[in-house]
Amino acid sequence: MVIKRKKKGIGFALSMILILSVFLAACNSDSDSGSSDGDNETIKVGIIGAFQLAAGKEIKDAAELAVKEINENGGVLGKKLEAVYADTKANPEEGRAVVERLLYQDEVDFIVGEHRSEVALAVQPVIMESKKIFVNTGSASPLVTEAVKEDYEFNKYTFRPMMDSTQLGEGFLNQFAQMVETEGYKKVALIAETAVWVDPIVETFEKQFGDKVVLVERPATDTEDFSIELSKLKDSGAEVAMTLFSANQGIVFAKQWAERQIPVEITGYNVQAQSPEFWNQTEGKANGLLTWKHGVRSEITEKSIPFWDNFTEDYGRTPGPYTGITAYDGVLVMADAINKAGTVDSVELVKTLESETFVGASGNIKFREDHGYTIGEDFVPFTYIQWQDGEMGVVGPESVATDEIIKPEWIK
Amino acid sequence: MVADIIVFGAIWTAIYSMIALGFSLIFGVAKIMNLSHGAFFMFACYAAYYLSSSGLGLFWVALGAIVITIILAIVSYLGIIKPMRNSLTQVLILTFAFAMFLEQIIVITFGPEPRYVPSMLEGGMSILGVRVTHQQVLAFVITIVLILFLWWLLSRTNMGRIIRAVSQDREMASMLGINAEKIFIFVMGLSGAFAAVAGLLVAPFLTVTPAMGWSPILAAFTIVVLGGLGNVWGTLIGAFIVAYAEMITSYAFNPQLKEAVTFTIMILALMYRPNGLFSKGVSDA
Repeated sequence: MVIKRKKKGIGFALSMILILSVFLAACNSDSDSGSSDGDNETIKVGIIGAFQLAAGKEIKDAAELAVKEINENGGVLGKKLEAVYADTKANPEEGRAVVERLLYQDEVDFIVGEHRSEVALAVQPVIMESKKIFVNTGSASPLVTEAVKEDYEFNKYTFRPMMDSTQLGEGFLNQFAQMVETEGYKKVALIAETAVWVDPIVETFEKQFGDKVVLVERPATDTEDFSIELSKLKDSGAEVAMTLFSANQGIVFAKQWAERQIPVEITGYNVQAQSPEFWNQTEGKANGLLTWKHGVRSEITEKSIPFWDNFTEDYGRTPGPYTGITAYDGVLVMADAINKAGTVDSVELVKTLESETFVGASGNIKFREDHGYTIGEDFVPFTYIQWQDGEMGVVGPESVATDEIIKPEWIK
Repeated sequence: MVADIIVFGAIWTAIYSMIALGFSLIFGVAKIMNLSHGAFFMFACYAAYYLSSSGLGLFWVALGAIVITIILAIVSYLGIIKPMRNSLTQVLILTFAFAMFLEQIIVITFGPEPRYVPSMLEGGMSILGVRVTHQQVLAFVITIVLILFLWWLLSRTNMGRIIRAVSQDREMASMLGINAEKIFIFVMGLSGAFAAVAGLLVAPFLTVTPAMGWSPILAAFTIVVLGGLGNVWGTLIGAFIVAYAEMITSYAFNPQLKEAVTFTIMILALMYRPNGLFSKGVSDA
């Protein structure tokens, strides 16, 4: 009797699960069919990234802002722009699966986003196969645009309105050289994480600064304590150091540098220092730390300051990692290109994207032959910020700087 | 440079001791190789982060994080470890799985991004010409106090005698009317408390991430292999050897060789002194 009752109970539970599954599936297909019904009324953009990560969340938030602003200004070709978000979970397999869903189920017109190189490289052929435009707005791997050069016909639908790792390396080294020259520094150091993308920069750094180099340290990306590196830095007598940190180590490095009052100026790239939370994360100790930050509150174009202010107003925080402004620009550039071409046809759009110059929040965007973009004063400047009393002061280049470089209080 | 090695070696000896003591204690008493000990350390950091961001005062943050971690340790003992306690392998696998589970819970709740825990003490001072933060000095001092407390507890109190009795011969202790199970729960809670205090003290100068528990558990493992599982002073000496070996290697060669040195020590210890440098049961000396 008891067993029978249990069986009935299990049967009831299974039935409920089945009904619930069918209901949920129906809800899901409702949203999908809703999307395809809107084909004539909307233009659809697929937004991809690992949304649970800060860089991915920034893509989602900035793309959402771009879509909202475009629709408030009349949409694209008189139609509403609709965003469909797909979380690639920083996983190439997952990336391929969600991109296929975007292309063939949601039937998006183009795709913007993805900050992980391995995912971008995995989804690129899937999107190219469908002959839809892929605006990659986060991965810095040169392979993404090299593919365009190598097989133009197949990969011509790929565009990347952001710097690749070669451009980043050149930018870091140029800013450092300028600082060394301006201040007349005689001893320099490099603290660069152990990562493949850093290797060519380290090699060039050692060649370029030659005898001035007194220390090169290569800590692991998961370093949790910089006591040793900072003692070595202090003992080396270096006056300025370039850091290259793309993981979480930047917070603890900055805190320990300030707490121990290491008399060496810090510049370079610290991904955590690009985030508005950095000031609190370092308990306000990182005053005077410099880092490259793509997208700053400065009048680079007429869209730069409104992007910064509107983002801050909508999300209650200032823009963080570079992936946000590049995704924002990616959506804007595509909307502009569709309006100029008068169609969402990919072949026509490729022609427009290749020939026109677009105004983004990060600068004037002009695509190169390989569909990467041009950097420099007239295009997209390589901008630096310095943490100054809780604010990201824009200190370089001179053409966009709003603040002067200061020295940390313990450095005379 | 020598001063740097002396000062930072001492600070890391203290930190490693604190983490390894809890790990060593529960093995010494209950023969439980608790691989989730590092996850308790991580959990305490997140508890401190959560409580401090809720606006609580420093005292309540510390107390709250310690109590939460003690509860977690006891619940994990009663729910997961106790039913399988007779098999060392099963306990190893279960506690490893539990550590992974806790890590995922933290990822889901707080995300994978680093969090920060505010310092208990601001500012810094110079020791032997090396600038250290007051927080690091506090970590060192509290560790010394807690080691002395543990020594006093184990060697000078009735509870300590009971713990040592259970550690040496559980059957005999039970025949004498000691409820060994209650002792295991007490020691598990104590072990959790040590992990929590270590987390609270070091979180302000480390990066708080969901995976932060793995590195300390590896260091703790080496330290207790060196010092002998369950041996308080052995643990301290093990921590001293590991911390200074890491410091000297990092300064003289490359910081990236730090972990390689730790594992070399562990391999050598397992080959030549498999029962530790000072092997005994739980001991006060």
